[in-house]
Amino acid sequence: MCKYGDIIIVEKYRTEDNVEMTRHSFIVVDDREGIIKGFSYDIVANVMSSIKDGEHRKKVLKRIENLEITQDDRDCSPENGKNAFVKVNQLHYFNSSKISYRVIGNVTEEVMDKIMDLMEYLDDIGRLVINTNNL
Amino acid sequence: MTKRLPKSFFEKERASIKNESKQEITCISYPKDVESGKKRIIFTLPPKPKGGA
Repeated sequence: MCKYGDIIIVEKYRTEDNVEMTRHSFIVVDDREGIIKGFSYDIVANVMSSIKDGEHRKKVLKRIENLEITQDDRDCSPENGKNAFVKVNQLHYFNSSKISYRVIGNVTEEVMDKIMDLMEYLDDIGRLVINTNNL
Repeated sequence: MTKRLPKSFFEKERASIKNESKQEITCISYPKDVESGKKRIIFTLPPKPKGGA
């Protein structure tokens, strides 16, 4: 089971236009069971992608819905310390019984608070969107 | 105490993501010991810029 703030890798997931994507990391933003569009879910997550280089970083961070976060592996030296960003405006709904995933770490409370604040703001301005294709 | 949004926030129906597969989503590659579960990754925020506004 995963919990709020965990970083998970989902082996396969479907995008909203039903394209199958493989092995991608997400941050769990809600771990409570619920119902959406008549389907049960127990994981809501934001997709996390890597920032390739300086140009990519500039492009990505121009968008208000993208939050940069830093990789800080506390167990080994951060040799490939690539930073990442989270698409806070996209809510991906999963049913844990229908996906294969594993927990590989977590983000800090500070990061989760930032995500929640930004998510609330994006909702206020009507910018949150959802993917329920994995339910 | 971590801030959490209420469950009802996530049960609200909203518009679907459009053209997600066409957007640039780059997978992050993790070291083998992280993938295997031997070590964990912790993500933090970037350091705050020095000096006031």
